[in-house]
Amino acid sequence: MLRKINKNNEIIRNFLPSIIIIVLMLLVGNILTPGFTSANNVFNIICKASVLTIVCIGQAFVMISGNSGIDMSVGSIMSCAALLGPSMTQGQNIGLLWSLPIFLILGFLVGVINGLCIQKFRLPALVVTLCMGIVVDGLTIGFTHGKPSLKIPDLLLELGIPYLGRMRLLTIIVIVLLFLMELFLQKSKYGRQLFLCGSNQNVARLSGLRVNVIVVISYGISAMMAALAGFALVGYVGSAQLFMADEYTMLSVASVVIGGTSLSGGKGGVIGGALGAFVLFLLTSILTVLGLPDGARIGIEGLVLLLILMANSRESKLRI
Amino acid sequence: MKSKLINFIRWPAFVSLVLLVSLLIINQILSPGYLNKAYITNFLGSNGPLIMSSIGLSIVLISGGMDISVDGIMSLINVVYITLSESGMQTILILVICILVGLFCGIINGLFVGYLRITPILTTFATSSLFSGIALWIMPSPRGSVPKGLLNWYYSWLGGFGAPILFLLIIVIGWFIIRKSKLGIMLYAVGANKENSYLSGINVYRVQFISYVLAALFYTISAISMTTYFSGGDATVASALTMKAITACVIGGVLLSGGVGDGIGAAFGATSLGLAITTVLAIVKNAFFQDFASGVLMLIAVIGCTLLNRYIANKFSKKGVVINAEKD
Amino acid sequence: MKLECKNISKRYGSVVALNNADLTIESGEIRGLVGGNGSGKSTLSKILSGAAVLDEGEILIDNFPYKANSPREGKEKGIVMTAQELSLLRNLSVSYNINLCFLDEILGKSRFINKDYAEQRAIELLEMLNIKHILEMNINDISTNEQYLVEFAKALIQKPKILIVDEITSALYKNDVEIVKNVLFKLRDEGIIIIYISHRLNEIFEICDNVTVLRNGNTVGTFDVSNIDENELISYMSGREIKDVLVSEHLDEGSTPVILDTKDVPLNVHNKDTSVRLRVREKEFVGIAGLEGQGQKDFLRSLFAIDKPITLEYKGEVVTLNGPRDAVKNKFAFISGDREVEGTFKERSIAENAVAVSDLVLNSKIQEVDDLLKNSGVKYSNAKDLIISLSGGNQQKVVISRWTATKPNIILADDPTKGIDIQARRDVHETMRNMLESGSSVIMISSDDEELVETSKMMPMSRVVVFYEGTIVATLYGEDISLENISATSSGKY
Repeated sequence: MLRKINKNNEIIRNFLPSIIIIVLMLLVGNILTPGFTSANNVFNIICKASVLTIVCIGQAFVMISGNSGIDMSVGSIMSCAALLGPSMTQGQNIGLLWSLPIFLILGFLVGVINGLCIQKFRLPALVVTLCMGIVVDGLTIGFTHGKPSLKIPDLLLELGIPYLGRMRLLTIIVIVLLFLMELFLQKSKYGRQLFLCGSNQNVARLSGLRVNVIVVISYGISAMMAALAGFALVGYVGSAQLFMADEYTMLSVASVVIGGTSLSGGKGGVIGGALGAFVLFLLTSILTVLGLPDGARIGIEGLVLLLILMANSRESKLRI
Repeated sequence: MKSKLINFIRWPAFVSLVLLVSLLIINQILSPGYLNKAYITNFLGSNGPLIMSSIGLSIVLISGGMDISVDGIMSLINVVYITLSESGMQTILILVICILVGLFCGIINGLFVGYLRITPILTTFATSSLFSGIALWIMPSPRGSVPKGLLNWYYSWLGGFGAPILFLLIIVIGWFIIRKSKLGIMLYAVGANKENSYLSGINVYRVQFISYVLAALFYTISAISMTTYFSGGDATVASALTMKAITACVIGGVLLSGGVGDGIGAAFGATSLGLAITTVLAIVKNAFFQDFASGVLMLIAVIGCTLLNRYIANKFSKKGVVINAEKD
Repeated sequence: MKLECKNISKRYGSVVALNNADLTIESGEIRGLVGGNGSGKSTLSKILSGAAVLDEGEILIDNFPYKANSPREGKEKGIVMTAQELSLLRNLSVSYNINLCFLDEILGKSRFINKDYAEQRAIELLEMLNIKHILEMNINDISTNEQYLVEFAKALIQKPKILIVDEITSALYKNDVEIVKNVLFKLRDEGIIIIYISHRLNEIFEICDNVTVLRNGNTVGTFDVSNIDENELISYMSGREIKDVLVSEHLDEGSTPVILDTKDVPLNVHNKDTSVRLRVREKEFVGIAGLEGQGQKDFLRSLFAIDKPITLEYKGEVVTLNGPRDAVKNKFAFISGDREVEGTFKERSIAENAVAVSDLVLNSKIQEVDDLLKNSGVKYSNAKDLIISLSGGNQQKVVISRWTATKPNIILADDPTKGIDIQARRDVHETMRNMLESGSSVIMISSDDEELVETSKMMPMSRVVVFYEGTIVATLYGEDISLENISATSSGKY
């Protein structure tokens, strides 16, 4: 059986659980409330998932880099970009021209600091990125004085408006981004090096790869994607508040894992994360449709996640 | 004598103790006489829960696990406690039920990580969402109070010091019991190397299971103390606690890879985090940048303490041989 | 007491570890278990001790079926094994390590640990093994040979009925081995069944009563040690008479220019500082022999600048290598036998594994990956399959093709054929020979002396250097490269 595992087969096998879950949930949703699968509703859910997908792209890069790579600072970076980004534009579309690149670069730099601490000092990624999250949150508070941002460029606000049929502009952008990043990950020299580093950092080093540089860049990409997602979020929601994206940290980890990228690194891709994000928001919206209170919804989400994990994240047995 | 000293330096909690003492001194220099009665009672009340849950978390970390459901469990206990006390139930019964709920949470964590072998961080993320969801379900918005008698006792016993110190003492004694028991040895063994522990006849899955249950028990006691101090119910009251507890453990010399550390170190780390806030308040006058400063301080403390611990493990071996604690 | 194993089979994925192995031992016997790497010795002992599940076959003790679902159950039924990889916990003291098995039952019924009692129990054994002084130390703080003795003590304290000793002596000094031997004799006289696994054949003859030979997961036969000599045993282990190897015309030393002068490479073996210098000629094969842990691995690793930079004379110039990347750029190759840790990218495909260095580090794109793999003798169906779908030997060939693709000048090979079957081994040797002929020089460590003898006969220009305690104690050429000479010099007889 083992002999038959082809790399491509494996990718399909990783996607399969999330695709099955999506189909099942759409069916269940439609039974519970007819009209659940209407194009408008589904595209709305996809649009919500699109914001998360952007974060998931970065999170996937970090998780593929191995060595229990995880980025717990993405939520804070997102919130920071969502709050500070638009306010830098003074509400003018033209302002995006500099504020977006500036925040992407700043995000990248924050990620590079994460990566340097992790690779150079051999610190656990979890703790470094947690602390970095607190630092970034602190910066956000410092610069905004805790006030929500008011002036948001119209261009950002248009992201959430139906564009191509029922499809939102944001979704189209994210789909393009998703495929570009998947292509970058699977085909570019950097992407292939990243897979090797994640698979086995030790062998990668012995093979002469610049492991530190490669891994540090993956953290940079993650933080940069988070900054981008911050802009998308503020556009979709229409306003920005302090800590508005906190939950995206763990949501992104969960989506990527549901999408078949393992925490142990070395395999996976960014498309799985998009599927995972869709699963999570589909679940949320079914539970919301049911009229469950927030608490029950969150609880059930946890329970469902636990069941999904049982299917795809078990560690090997001690007895061989 | 010399070997005693080396043993002391090699104690994983040593670096965090140094940090703790230096922060005490720095604070004294920055704001002389800050260490008065009001400060101490307030400090114990507000930082006690973090200290206690850090000790609990260190049990899981030492046995090679990870638990990010600390805040979930503590919020649930908080809400259960308040809801029951609103119904006018007897205090002792409330406490018993709280502990049972806590044990139940621990059992769920332990079952999924230990016996079902799901990656700890993902399991506890899912259960965290489960527990805090239930908490929010029970109490969608903050409200309530604790029984008057209990509140009075907490704030006045032994000049206001008594209650928080009693709770802390229970936790610390609990930790020492674990540390000195056979189970303690097994926790360290499993954390260092699961395969070898298994080969040595240890029931690895059971030890992992127990570690989560014990930790949950510790969080529960911590949550009871916290709830009495705040005397109110709020399903999001403990939200930042998990992150801080993990950071405290790392500062306290607990290795996230397992097998190394001491709950006392975690307590030192947590106390240092609390003291650092006092330091920041004294240095950074711009209120809006105090969070940023304490974040930076935390990051520096994590890096510094980890590197120092590693240096000590490398340099101060009993035979004077350079060994690498990281390599297994 | 009588232990019978009948038709034991065990597979790991596609790799057959044991195939219908049989073993029968009665009380009062020390049974040697010998066989090449990957012959199934360790797997058999893991199955007996409960650490591994058997796929087929049955085990009887005194005619009753025996089954252990975990090492603990094995121990409860009296079967205890010392692990070759050491089952010690590095963060615990020696005395706790020794007492770790059945910790909850021994040392009194109390739930608390009684440190004094634990030390008291441990000290008797440590005294017997002559290492009393380490009682309070941590495993991390004691030397390798002491660790192996602690592993031994840890097994003894459980009062086993059947004791499996797996390669405990490979890291021990001579006087330690003597002590272990006497302990084993005493246990045998008490009626305990002892299974003794070792690759040192002289110990097998000294210690064991009978010896069972395993080959490729099969039991070849059991022999009384007084009725068999070392050469016969070796031929049973390898499954052939003197093999018909390709013997090359032997060139004199010094016929090609020196390509690499390592200068003095500092080593530290058993806390003793030494240094080793080696000059390697173009197209030369240098085999490194020696018992485990004599500094040869550190030496090879230093040349690839794995842990710290190194300065050496290469192609007549002084070159400083700051890390593996520099070494790779200078056309060095490093092939390790430890595939899990230093060889394969487990999650990736065969093709990705093969082109990792040439394509992603040296920027020379490989046009035909299939040709590359075929040249190294890899048997596979699709280069896009995951590398772990291959057998161990084929995985290793992929790893080697990764380096041959770079056309290296210096090949550093650290036990490259560890744990792979005989056919794969020959393919690897063949590849090495091709590389030598196309201009590379090879420095190869092997833990298998026979392999060194065989390969050096194959290669056009070869020598074998023998490491002992951090120095080269002998250099063998031509006819002198023999099993006897290597084993004599590697145990310090020179």
